[in-house]
Amino acid sequence: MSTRTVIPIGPYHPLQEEPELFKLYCEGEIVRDIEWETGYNHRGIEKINESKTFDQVFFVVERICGICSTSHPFAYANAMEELARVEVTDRAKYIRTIIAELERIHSHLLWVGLAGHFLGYNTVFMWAWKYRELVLDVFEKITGNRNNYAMFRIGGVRRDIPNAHISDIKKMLEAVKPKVDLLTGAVLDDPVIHARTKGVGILTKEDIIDYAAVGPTARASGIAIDVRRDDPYAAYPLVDWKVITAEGCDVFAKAEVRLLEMYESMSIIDQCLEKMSKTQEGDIYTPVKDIPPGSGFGRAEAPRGEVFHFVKSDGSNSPVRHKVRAPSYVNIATFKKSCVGQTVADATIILAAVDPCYCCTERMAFAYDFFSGKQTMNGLDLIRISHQKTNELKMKM
Amino acid sequence: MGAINYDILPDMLRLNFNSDILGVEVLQRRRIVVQIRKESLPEIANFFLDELKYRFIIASGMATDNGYEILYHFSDDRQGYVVSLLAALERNKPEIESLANLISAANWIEREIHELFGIKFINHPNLTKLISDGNWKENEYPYARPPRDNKKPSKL
Repeated sequence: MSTRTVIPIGPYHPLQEEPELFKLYCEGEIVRDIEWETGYNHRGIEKINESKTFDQVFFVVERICGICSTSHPFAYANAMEELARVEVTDRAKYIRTIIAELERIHSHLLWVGLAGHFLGYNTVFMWAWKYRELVLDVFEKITGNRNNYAMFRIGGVRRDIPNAHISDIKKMLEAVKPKVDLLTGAVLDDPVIHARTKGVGILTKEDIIDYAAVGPTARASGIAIDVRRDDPYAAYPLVDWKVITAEGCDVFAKAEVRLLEMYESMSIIDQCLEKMSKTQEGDIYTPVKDIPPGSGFGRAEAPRGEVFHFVKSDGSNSPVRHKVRAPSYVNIATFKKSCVGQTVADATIILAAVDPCYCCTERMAFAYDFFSGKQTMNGLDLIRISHQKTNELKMKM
Repeated sequence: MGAINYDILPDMLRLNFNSDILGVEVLQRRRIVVQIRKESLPEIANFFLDELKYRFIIASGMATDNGYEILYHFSDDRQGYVVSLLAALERNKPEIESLANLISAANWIEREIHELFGIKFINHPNLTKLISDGNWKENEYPYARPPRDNKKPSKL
């Protein structure tokens, strides 16, 4: 009889923003089953929002995710504007789109860095996070904040981007492009990365449909879904861009989709800045008096996939029910398909591949022997195993 | 199946499922809520997924004065519609057939709704707690209370 070892990943780690626990059931090197436990950080945000006014909810939902802090307010604004039947001005649409796309760039850069770290490419990690700072500087210039920008409100945005700042912002973004080129080259042309990620963590089209996965996870399996195109909102129908897909279904394809998406985001931002300069400065808000009773369904494409908000109003000043579906909720469930049958050394990068708000992979804790209960390895050991595999491949090539 | 004509969707649903459809509400901007009899949920959900090729987004529960409402949200990614199935459940015995055997994506959210509202999903493969893992009292459901009746002013 083979011995099954349980490797718990998580639940707590100083680097993680949302604690979760994965239990990998392994036979030797091979992962045979995976279980997921969550709720360590259940903050009851849906319930809290029932006691907040519609305007206050923005500040709560902004704090659902620390990395993509605009995607939730975006989806919520879409839901509320649908409910209140408000059309926002073009300038507000452009500003919203610029913020969302800047966020996509910095979120994808963060992912590239961490993926590099798990594979043993710490230089990629350092570079990616260093260049991500350039994007955060743009955020600081536009919104005054590096994260949690507080830009959204029902009917528009809170702050304008003065036309005089546009050339500066463009210059700052131009500095980001060569860095993205560098990272794209480093990742897509490296034979060892190919060997480590191609054919690893396969999610077929059927798996994606069954688990209803979204975002780059779905697009890397050849399913071209993107709310920005499918259910157009904000300025996305007003600019030219395309949905990036890949057919590989593996970890490499997910990296490819994310890297190429950054170029699309940069092009969207450029076009938005250009078109925004032709609109009236300060025309960023449509007054909203009250919210009628009814239901609002809002969607937005976050860096990790579709965010869905359902808001029900009874005519008072706060929601009766607010349902939030973050993309990781459906994407993380795919681990059951992608991890099983793979080696422990590949588990870290497979878990990282869906970009599960990142922390999930950082929360490697301890491995206990299933029978004796003795600790055999910890999170650092798992990353070490992954690095070791990369080094062995490097030696062979 | 090609593009769906949403002007005739309400009639098409009534034709296929006649008395199971209790009402169709077309909201503005590509949003539709279809109220159904709860017994017909698996059949209609199967029709949405298999025939209309919808993507399952999520389900959401809500406590009302008379019991519970559960909404299953589906997305038509080709035309950008969100179509939601709404089933009303009685307060004394909130039960509905599980969709987890039809589509894996429904597995976790049904566990979550069971935990927060106490709604029982019949034939769910593993209706255990998802988010509180045993540290919440049995038979006490945090979201099960009906919404407040002391209305606040409507000004933002």
